[in-house]
Amino acid sequence: MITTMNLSKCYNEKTQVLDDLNIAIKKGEWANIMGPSGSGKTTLLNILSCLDRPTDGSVIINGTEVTKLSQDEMAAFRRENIGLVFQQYHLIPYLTALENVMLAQHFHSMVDEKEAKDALELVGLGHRLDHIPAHLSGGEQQRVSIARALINQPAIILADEPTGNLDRANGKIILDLFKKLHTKGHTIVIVTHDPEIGTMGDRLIRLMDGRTVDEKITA
Amino acid sequence: MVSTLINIALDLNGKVAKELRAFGANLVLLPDEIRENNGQLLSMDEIDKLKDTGRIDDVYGYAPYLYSIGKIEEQNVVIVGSQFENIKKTSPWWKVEGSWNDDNSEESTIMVGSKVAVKLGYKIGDTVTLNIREETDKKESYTEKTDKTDEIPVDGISSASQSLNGDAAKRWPLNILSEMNQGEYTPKQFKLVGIVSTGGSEDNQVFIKLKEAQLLFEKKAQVNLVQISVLTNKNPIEKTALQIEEQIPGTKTRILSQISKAEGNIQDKILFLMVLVTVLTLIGSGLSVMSTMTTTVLERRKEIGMMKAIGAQNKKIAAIFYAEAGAVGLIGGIAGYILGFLMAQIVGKSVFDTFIGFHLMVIPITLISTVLLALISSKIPVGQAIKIDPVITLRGE
Repeated sequence: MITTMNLSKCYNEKTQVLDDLNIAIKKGEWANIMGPSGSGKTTLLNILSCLDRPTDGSVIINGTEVTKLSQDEMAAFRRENIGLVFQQYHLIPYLTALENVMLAQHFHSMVDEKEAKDALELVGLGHRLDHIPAHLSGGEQQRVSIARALINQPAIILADEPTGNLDRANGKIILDLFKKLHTKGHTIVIVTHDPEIGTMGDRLIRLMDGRTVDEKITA
Repeated sequence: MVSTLINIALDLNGKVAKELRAFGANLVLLPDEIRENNGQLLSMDEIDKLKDTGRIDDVYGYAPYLYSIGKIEEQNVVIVGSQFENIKKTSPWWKVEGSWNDDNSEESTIMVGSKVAVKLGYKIGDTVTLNIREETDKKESYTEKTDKTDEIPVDGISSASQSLNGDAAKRWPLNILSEMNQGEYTPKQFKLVGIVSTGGSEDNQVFIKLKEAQLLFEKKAQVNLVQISVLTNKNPIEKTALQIEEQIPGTKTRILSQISKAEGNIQDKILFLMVLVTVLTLIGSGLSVMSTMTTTVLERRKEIGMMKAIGAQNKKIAAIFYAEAGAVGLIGGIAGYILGFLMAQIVGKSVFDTFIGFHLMVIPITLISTVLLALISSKIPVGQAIKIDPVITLRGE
């Protein structure tokens, strides 16, 4: 499903963030990526999300070499295939939970309020549809973010520290949601510092200085 | 501001044209050469055609004049018969101490020029005995020599001619000059009601009611000339002059070109100034909108980054900002139109002492210009928005 080949990323020709990285994630697999700060986790996730380009090497997702796509093609590919969940949620502050979800529909194709409500029901926020982010807890905001990521039925969910800003109880709710999505067949890649998340999913990839230092099956 | 200026500009020509009528008449109507040679004057029936707005455009006001000569206390003087309500409109600069002759009064009243009053020591309320020259054959007097002009003690006659242009201006006063100190005079008493000061030839003349003058000069329902005040904002004065000549056969018009040109220049300059202020206002507003939109883009760069991250194409991001700018422009345009219209009324009332009219076309002009201005001014900020790199903004930089 996701393959990186000799992936490298340099900033300013001096800082090597990713160094000849080769990983392969199968369809429906839940892979967690861990490593210390500066190990290249987020950069890898950005490249897998088609938000950033590598300096060298290639990324193939669902048979498409995304590193060869133009900026607009990358945006279109991301829209169709990838759902993103951020540590900071990144919700539009003046839109309600429902509208935040519908915004992703608007950029994808057409707005369907019922589908958006169903997505929020799925993450347990059917009663919070008309609340703006400021009136939601961190866990609730992250659930809205997950509903937004899911609304266009992407095959792949990429999450960057999804529980990083949450307490244990809310973190558990989010992880339960990921489990549910995994069960439904979504391919999930989570970048995390949390060792507990590292024990979940199918595989744990450890990075150090932009290279894979350890890779083990956790399932 | 744009709405205010357009509202004013649309009314400006009309308002300024009326203001400029304070300059006085800019057209004189006279009998043509044939009638003049026959001693034929203009009739009141003919003059009434000037009121025919269906056939003659843009006549703001007119005053008929009938001239003759007479003596007051052995001093030669030009006697002017006219309609004073009309003079108030065509020659608004006249200053009258006391009161004006009442056109509708049966009482024999007279107004005298300030120099005449000083020379003869007249005060308001005095009785003036005017010796009116009895009518002689016009042709005979016209052919006489004019070598007695030096003897005229009051210089009203020569200066009166300055208010006219062309052949008639040269001929009719000389005609009168030639008749001075000749013939028989009939005395008639008038009550002095006003002393006229204009700084011009009128200071040396005396003024009686037109109807009374026509009776005394034996020129029933006739006048020598008509001074006409023509509005020049819609049509050139030449067009109005031609219309008058066509509608009143046997007459000719003389355009007082200095006044007409001055009016045209003033109107053009004011309009140019209005356009300049409007353009500068638009440029200023455009820069202001651009600055506001740039700030908005900077403040919302995380939001834009997130939109891109969830798949928004550049054109959709641009559409969002253009839609916002357009909506702001539209709301601003509506508010601006209302405020501008009110502002125009204040300006109109304070400058022209009248309200500015409602012009339907200002609404679409204002709305379209504000929306277009908002869209054009947003081009650079929107360009910045679509260049935002989501990787950087989502990282929090």
